[in-house]
Amino acid sequence: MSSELRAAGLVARALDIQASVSVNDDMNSLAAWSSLAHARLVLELEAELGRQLTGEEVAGIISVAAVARLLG
Amino acid sequence: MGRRSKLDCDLETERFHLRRCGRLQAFFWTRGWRRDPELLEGLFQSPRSYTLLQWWFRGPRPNGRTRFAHAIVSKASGEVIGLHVVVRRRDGSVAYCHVAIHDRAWWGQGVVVEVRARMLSHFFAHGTERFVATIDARNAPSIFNYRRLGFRAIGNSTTHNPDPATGRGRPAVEMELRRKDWVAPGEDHHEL
Repeated sequence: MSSELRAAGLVARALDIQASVSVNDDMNSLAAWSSLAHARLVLELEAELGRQLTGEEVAGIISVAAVARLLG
Repeated sequence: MGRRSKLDCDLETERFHLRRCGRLQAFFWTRGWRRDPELLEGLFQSPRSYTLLQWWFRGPRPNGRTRFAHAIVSKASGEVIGLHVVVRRRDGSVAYCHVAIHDRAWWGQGVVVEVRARMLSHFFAHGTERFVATIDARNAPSIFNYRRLGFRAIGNSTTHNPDPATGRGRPAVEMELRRKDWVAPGEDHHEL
């Protein structure tokens, strides 16, 4: 599975979105992307990567594409 | 206490009245927070509790000149749900924010972004050049709130207050927003 698809699935799970999430979506286009959802997303991403994210990395998570880049 | 500068005034957003408050008011509204680790983390990046006397000297302590506190009052209920503090260098070149929402029912409801956006507009309009923030790297909600407002990460660092467990600062991220980069999310709010 591509990193974009994995990222979209991870974002949908963290934000508890039933509808599909596009690779073009970001924190402004998804109403469910709240501060608490962002915290869940960081935890999900860290579990997926098996390491803690740095502050700069957490600050860089502003879109599905950014999540995909971290998943590499 | 009389008003001390143009910055020290009541404001309003779509859902909240932002009531300026003096040191005594801020003390009474927030004294219960001095033993609440989650709120203390939000304000001081440390869960260390305070005595009443310590809170008087280390709490929000607005002075209307360089430190400004606003009670966040829900328009729907009339209740104070939290406090937003801006600390500004006297020459206006740099400022930073603290916020705590003690009514947990409002967590995750966009309060900080809505309130801080109004604060940023107000302070940028009155000469502040730059807002900075040092945020604990584990505080993803706070990092999110700053990013939503257009702050950009400028580097990794450590928190100013040491972690009680290690005695050292915790990993943090430095963020900033310059006046020229500020884009207010809607202009439907107004100064009172």
